[in-house]
Amino acid sequence: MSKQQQFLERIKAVEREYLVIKQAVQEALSRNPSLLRSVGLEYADFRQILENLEATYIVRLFAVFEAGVREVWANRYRRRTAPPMEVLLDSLAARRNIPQEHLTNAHAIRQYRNALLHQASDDIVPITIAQARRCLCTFFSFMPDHW
Amino acid sequence: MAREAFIRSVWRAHRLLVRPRVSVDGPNLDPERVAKVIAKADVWLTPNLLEDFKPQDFADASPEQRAALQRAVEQFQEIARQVPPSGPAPKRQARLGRRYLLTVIELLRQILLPEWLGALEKLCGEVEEWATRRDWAVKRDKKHLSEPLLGDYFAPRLLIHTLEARLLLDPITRFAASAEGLAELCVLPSYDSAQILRHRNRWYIRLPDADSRSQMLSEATFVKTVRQLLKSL
Repeated sequence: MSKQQQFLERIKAVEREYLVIKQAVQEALSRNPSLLRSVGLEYADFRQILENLEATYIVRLFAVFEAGVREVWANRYRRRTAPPMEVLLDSLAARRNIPQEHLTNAHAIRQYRNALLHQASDDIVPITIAQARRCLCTFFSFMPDHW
Repeated sequence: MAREAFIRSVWRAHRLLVRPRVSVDGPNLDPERVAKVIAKADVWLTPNLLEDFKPQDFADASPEQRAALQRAVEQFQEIARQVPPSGPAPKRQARLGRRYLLTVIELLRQILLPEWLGALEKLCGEVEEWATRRDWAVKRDKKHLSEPLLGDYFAPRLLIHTLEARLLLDPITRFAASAEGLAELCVLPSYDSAQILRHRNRWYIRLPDADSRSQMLSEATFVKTVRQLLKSL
């Protein structure tokens, strides 16, 4: 299996893990709606928990993607620099001939991740984990097979 | 269903045999110490663990395998029944219980792994045939998987080239929630996927939409799913 393939599968695995946990929480709560009371929470907190869960997993998904592109930068292009993600994505897009559409999508996910981390999500359009995985996997598929 | 309940119990117990990784939220708590206490509790050492075992559920295994499995289950049950219900198991019982449980795990692995790989081979064979009929090129590959009970193994997977895009038929796990196996049909490179679930040795396919229902996997449902996945490109 190529290194590129390994990273694509890792990104997909994060989404799968999110779906498993979401399903498990939903099933556990449908069986026992008062389950959250033992930790001082109410059923109303549940929706918030699910929203935050998806945001948490988007941050993780992006972290796997970032680890991959930084590996490519360091090992394939022999660069010792650690540029900000915005610059790194632009540089890799130029080197790998990545179409503008995919670069724009990757930047959108990066900006959303930043908004989640800095809790500045007022003027940013929410992105689902499926959309994030689709955009990041597509961008990453332009990376070399091995590095 | 008793067969699958027994298999799931052994699968869960196998996960419990490994010392857990513990995170703590207090400065006075030592995660290593907490992990040790949890591991020493031997929560798997209970007669209920293997109560769903019925030798007739393993008619597909060889008579020797079936007999060995029954013997190991009985030995485990005998030890588990001696454990005091209100306290931890004495060291000797914990050691013997672990030994018999590991025997059960190994015997079950020898039965389940060929069965699971056989089911995947059959799935790949069918999909390969359906794809070839449509002039889609198919390439076989092996994927390394590692999961409790089955350990490390290589499973078959398929890369399918249509004119519009490539698809990957990817084995994921034998122990999916409420299924006896999970594979995914992913469109590359976006990894949008449909789930392929195994129930009672039959495969069902389901798109990831919230309102989609599982359908029996057939040539028609496979091709329909491929078309739907390609639409998302």
